[in-house]
Amino acid sequence: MGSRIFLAMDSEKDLWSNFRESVMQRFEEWEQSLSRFRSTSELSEVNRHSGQWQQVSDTFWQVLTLALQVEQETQGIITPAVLDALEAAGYTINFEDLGNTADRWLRQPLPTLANVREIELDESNHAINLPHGLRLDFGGVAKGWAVHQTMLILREYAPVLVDGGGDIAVSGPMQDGSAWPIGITDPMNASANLGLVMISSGGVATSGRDYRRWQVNGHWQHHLIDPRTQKPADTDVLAATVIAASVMDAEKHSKQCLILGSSETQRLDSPKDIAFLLVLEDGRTIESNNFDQFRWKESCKATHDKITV
Amino acid sequence: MNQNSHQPKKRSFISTSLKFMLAAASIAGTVGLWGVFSKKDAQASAATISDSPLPTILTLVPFQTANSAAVPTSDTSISSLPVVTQAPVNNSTQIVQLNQPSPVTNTKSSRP
Repeated sequence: MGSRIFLAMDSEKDLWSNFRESVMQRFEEWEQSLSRFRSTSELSEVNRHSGQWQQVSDTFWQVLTLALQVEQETQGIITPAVLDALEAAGYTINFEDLGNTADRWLRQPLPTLANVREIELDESNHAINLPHGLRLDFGGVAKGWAVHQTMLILREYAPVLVDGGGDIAVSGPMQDGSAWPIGITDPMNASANLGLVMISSGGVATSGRDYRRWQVNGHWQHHLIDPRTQKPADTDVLAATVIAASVMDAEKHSKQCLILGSSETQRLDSPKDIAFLLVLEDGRTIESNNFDQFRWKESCKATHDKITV
Repeated sequence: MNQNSHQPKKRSFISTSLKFMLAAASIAGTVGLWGVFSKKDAQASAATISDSPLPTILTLVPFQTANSAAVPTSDTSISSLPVVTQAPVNNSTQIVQLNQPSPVTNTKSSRP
């Protein structure tokens, strides 16, 4: 998934050594199923056989149905059908290896529009049929799902926080009842924090175009595609941080906020159970009315302990 | 009788010193003209480059944070260091309050 996974368990016992192997094995299995960067992955195999019925694994089925649900909930803003556009923008291989791929960029075809709602699903057999030419990329949906699954597995043993490259799932308050302190990295200065939020349970995610980006002819490209234009989103939001009931919800809303931009985000009838902080390109910040209640404040520490999204 | 002895000796119309002067002038002229022409060529080349730029080549430049920059070592030259590009730093005030707990981790846009 191209991300570092960080786990914190609140326990006096050394639980991590018991779960290390199994957790790493699960991530390897998920990577082998869901990665578009592995030519042997299940996703790559499915993408190569569009137009045919194919049986898929439970993991693939769960992530696909989640991605389709997200696509409907966001009215197509977050869609798994932007792989062609991503590759046309130059994101063809792992981001860390992008530096020497100017020639690859020059050979990319123009993106093709494909309708993700034409995917046929056979739930009883976990079989799918992609419309001819459609290729999928689960992107952040897969990462949020994997982080959430890991949290669900480990929460049986101790309060746990799982961080997948900045998308964070929290199982519940720590053993002493207090919330988990989570910093918000300043997208304009990665070594600084914009503040500290206290999360008792749920998820926090940040989408941004401050890191995974590259230049073409002096113009910045980034990895968050606006499906309406099939190009990297032209937005005034540099980074969007969302607190929600689950890391999957937080990931979905943060990406939506970034793609839509600050004006549309503020016009949205956002669910009451999310809180957002937008950092704009000019350095200004905009936050939802309820974001402040998650910020760490010495004077109301007791309140933080009770907050649950 | 030896008739050759009566032939008048062939006279040189150009003196040796004049020959030297002509040779020196020739060399100086050649070098001077070379300099003039080469300067004109250089000016012409420069004008050609500025008048008709090469077609722009697409480039991909990875963005790296300051954290990922390599630390120079004694045998590392500046030219071998990776290029680091970053958005302008906003010197916004970071308020750190007393008794504020350290974050367990940070949320940020997706990182490796």
